[in-house]
Amino acid sequence: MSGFLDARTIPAGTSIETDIAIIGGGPAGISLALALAATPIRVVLLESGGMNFDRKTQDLYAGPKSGYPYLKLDASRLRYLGGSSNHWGGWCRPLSEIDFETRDWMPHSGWPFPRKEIEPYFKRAQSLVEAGPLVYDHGAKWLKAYGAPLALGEGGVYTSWFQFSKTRDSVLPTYFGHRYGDDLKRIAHLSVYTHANVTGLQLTPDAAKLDRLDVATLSGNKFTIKPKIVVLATGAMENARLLLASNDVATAGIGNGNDLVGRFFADHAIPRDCATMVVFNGQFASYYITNTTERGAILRAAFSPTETYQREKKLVASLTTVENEVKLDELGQAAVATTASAFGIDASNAKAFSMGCGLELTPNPERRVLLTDERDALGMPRLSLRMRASDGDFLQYRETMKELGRQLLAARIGMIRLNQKTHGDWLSVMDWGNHHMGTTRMSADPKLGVVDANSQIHGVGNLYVAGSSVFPTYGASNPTMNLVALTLRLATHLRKVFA
Amino acid sequence: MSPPPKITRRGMTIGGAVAIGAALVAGGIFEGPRLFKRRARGRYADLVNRLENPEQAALVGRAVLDGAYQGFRDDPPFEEEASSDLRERLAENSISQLMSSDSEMISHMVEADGWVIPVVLAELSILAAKSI
Repeated sequence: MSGFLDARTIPAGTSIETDIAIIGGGPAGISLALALAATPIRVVLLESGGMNFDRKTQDLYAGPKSGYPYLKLDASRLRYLGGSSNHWGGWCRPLSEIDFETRDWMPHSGWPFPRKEIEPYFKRAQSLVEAGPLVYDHGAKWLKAYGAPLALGEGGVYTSWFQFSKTRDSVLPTYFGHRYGDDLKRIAHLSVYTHANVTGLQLTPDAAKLDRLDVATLSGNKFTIKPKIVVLATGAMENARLLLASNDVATAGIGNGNDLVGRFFADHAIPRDCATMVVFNGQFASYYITNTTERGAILRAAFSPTETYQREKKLVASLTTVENEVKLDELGQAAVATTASAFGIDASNAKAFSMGCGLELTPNPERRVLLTDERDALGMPRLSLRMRASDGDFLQYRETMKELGRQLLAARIGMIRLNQKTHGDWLSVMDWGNHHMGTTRMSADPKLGVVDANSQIHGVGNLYVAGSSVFPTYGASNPTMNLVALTLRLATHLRKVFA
Repeated sequence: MSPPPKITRRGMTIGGAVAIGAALVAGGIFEGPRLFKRRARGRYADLVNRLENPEQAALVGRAVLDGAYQGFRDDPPFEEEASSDLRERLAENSISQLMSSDSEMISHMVEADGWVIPVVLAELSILAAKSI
């Protein structure tokens, strides 16, 4: 049987056998199903929602939160086919080499492999997110006709580049469910069950393997899936929830022998108006402010610390974008006029811009999701989130921006104001990327990670995790294209398992 | 052909006054800020008046004193040392050259209410704040 099936119509008590069961129909789950399409491997994809938003299904995500202000748990992600790609902004950028390294100044950092391990998958990932040709740090050359990037003085910050996902004939980013729904229907050995919620991962009595999945619908239907291999692809919050809640054989939860599942939750801090940049002559290539389309690529420039500078100054990763033009107050005007005139530069046409940022957080085991006593409509324990952010990360970011200010002065082209300083300042402008990561972190050492370098849960032979929940360190790049690349690497591994 | 108009002394006086007035008005439009800029007085005037607009610099200087240089708000020895050092350096370099030189080093950057500026400009601005 293939195609799309409504789980509410499956006879209760049915047991469905398959080679691979993918739990979750977001970017990771759909990419994996597509990557296995050309194989004879029988795949079942279980999606909790349908094709569109449904409030009752979305409510399964609800749960309390504490600590740093954060979006509601049922607002920061979406539970229907396509998952959170149904509200993503389409920002793409591959992780950098340093993002994979163990950084001596950053506790708990480092992947079990270097960037080159997933590099071969970026091209296909770029294609799946429909971000056009792989340009990124060749953006300046690609957009030569739009003018040169700011000629920053030599130093620790450089102009880096984002690319953007797009759907064909539209400016919207790729919503995986809508975009690939028909492609999924055409895959001979794939069955997509909509409205199918996995409520339990049932281990064999020796806890060495996963035996079956309990599936329930909000209409009250229940059946089971008997897969050879399971891939958990429900996002960083839900992956942890399912593992922790499946605690009848492994009493601490599956893969949680070392109390790591749900810990190290991460997101990108997105403080608004973190700096004001002034360009003395007001001349500024438009690609710093707006997305610029050229030969199939949509590009936007951003400021990033170089890897050398990050290592030298021990900094978190960050990507700073130029936002809207702003007016300066009296002191700002005085600072600009005094600085420019002391350089002997005419600043009568100077322009000022507010800057926004995407900031990496240092991994923190206390920033975590946990099960609560409260139950959802399916009887599953709800999650709670303990959000934390370290002032140290913001201080490191401030250093990066100060360096950018220095470089602008050294080049005599502009200057910067650092708009936020205190804990309260940062809080007042804080936003989040809703890039959930880290709760099933990857490490070759079972004591330090939930999954191994192949994304397999340590100690459970046939259970894998796909998605950014396995990211042990995060970088500043948006996760979607990176998690798709990582999922394609997992597909290669699974093909070998079935070969 | 009519005879040329007779130029009287009274006419010349009125004409001259109008011309001077017009020049002043024109100056008010195009050069106003320069004509009415407050110049610094006192011990640091020779340094501070090298800046285009000492009054604006004083604003920046006060912001520096409210931040990183708070400890030097009422510190005559600091002012003496800074001014004598600046005189020495400015004897051989322009402000612009010193600013460029400072801008090579992150340790030579100072914040004025978040504005990142070279230390030489921060110190000149402090002296401006002390002079205006």
